[in-house]
Amino acid sequence: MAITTAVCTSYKVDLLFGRHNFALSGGDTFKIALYTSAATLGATTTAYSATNEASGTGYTATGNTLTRVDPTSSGTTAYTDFADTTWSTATITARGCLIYNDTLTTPVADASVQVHDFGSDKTSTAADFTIQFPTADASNAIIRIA
Amino acid sequence: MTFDESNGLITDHLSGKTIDYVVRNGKLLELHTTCGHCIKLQADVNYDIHFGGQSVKIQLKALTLGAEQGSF
Repeated sequence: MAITTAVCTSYKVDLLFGRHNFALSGGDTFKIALYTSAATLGATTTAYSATNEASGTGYTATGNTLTRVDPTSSGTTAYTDFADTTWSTATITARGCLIYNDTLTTPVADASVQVHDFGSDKTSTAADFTIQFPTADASNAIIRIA
Repeated sequence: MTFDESNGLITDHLSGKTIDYVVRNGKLLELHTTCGHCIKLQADVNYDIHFGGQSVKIQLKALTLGAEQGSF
């Protein structure tokens, strides 16, 4: 059981089928779910699952909905971003997260996008649990095609 | 929360962590660790220290579809 940071392979296929829409206006709904260290997640993850999802005060299964940012480019790199997200007054322990598309229903529902390993268990106790996305530019954005 | 419970939480949350910096935020004393956690302590009028919660901020790393992944 492990969580391995990766771009999900099924997501790459979905991109070639034109299944994801990251537009700020009218785009798909993307969510982020937290997982415990008991979860197995990585490049082969194809969809959201509640198995070994984190739980606790302030956390609801399926996670938080992300606020999209219009895709753009700089030089030859295209990228997009999400606004930081917080579970407030939460008591949660998580080892990683899954970003997934909550709008897609075929070929699988809740298709995965990326998996992130936090490196160690991260815990909030009656306080904010915040996911901070990297700077939205060609070198650092969370989702980039270079 | 009893003193034992409060002290237990403070001990649990600080164990194994390295303090990066300390900030006074109003009534709270915030101990920021190198691993992104923030343990909050608060003194009352009797100078007793209480556990005020622990927040965490995780900076995700960028992932690229590009030559390094060999997909595009």
